[in-house]
Amino acid sequence: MGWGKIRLFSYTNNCCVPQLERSLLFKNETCFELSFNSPEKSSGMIVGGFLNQVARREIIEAFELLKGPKWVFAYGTCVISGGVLGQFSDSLITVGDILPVTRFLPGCPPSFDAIQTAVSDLTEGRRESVREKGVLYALRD
Amino acid sequence: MSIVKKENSLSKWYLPGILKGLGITFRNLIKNLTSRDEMLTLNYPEEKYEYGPRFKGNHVLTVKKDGSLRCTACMLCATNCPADCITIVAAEHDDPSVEKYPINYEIDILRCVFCGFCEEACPVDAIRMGPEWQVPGVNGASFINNISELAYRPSLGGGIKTVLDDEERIKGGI
Repeated sequence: MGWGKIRLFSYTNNCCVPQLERSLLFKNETCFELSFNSPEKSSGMIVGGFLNQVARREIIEAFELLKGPKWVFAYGTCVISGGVLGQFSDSLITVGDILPVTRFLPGCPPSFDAIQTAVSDLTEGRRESVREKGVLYALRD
Repeated sequence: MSIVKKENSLSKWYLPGILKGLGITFRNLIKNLTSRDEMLTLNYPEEKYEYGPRFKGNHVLTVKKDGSLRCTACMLCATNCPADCITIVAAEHDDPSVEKYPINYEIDILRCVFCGFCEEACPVDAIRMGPEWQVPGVNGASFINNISELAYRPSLGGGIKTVLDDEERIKGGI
């Protein structure tokens, strides 16, 4: 139970799923918790894994359901730039083309400390104004 | 095939099951309170997680004993890279014993998958995977590392020096 923690919705594909879960299971003293099925109760989302056609549609739907600051963490090389698979894809669309990304977490997979510093930087108030970055923020309020 | 269990008097009552479950809870509670060092979880910001010695972190370009780059710009790492994230611009050296040297060596951290193939392909031990994990950043941060970050960043303390120098390599015939 994460009382007083920030809840992040996790939309991860392929091999980023066990890596993300593994880093949370063995070290529970984190400043956030993951939810896998309720974006409407989460204040941010972690996007990981290669973005196929279904994933591109679903992360936009999940992003519109988020409440609060609507942080987006691009988790891993595949979602940021395609990585190895990006060379062989003719129409590569990364997460930066679809959503306003708050923090990029490079690495394959990113280390546990990377997520921890990225989330704790934002919760301590050191963050840029994400509202100016994306057009999608005009959709809400 | 389905297994049908007959209800006996013990399984009707919910209290034995609850006591059994609470027994596991209190056993783990007492075990964690008495021996805190054997707990799986970490108090994160105070205790840091120690990575293994074979952890593949940010790249390091090794230097010779005089401080110049060990790399000879043979392009084997750039050819072997599956993500195609290494770009090298080679130049000819004034010293005839040195074949080539890179005037520009860039690694795109956002494309790199940290597989370690560049480390395996290198014939002169010029690139290694260091112990530092990758730092998150905002859009527009400097994710493309050049020579000054790869070889001479302040955390390395003047660069990692290789054991053999050029003259020793030529004498030994390596």
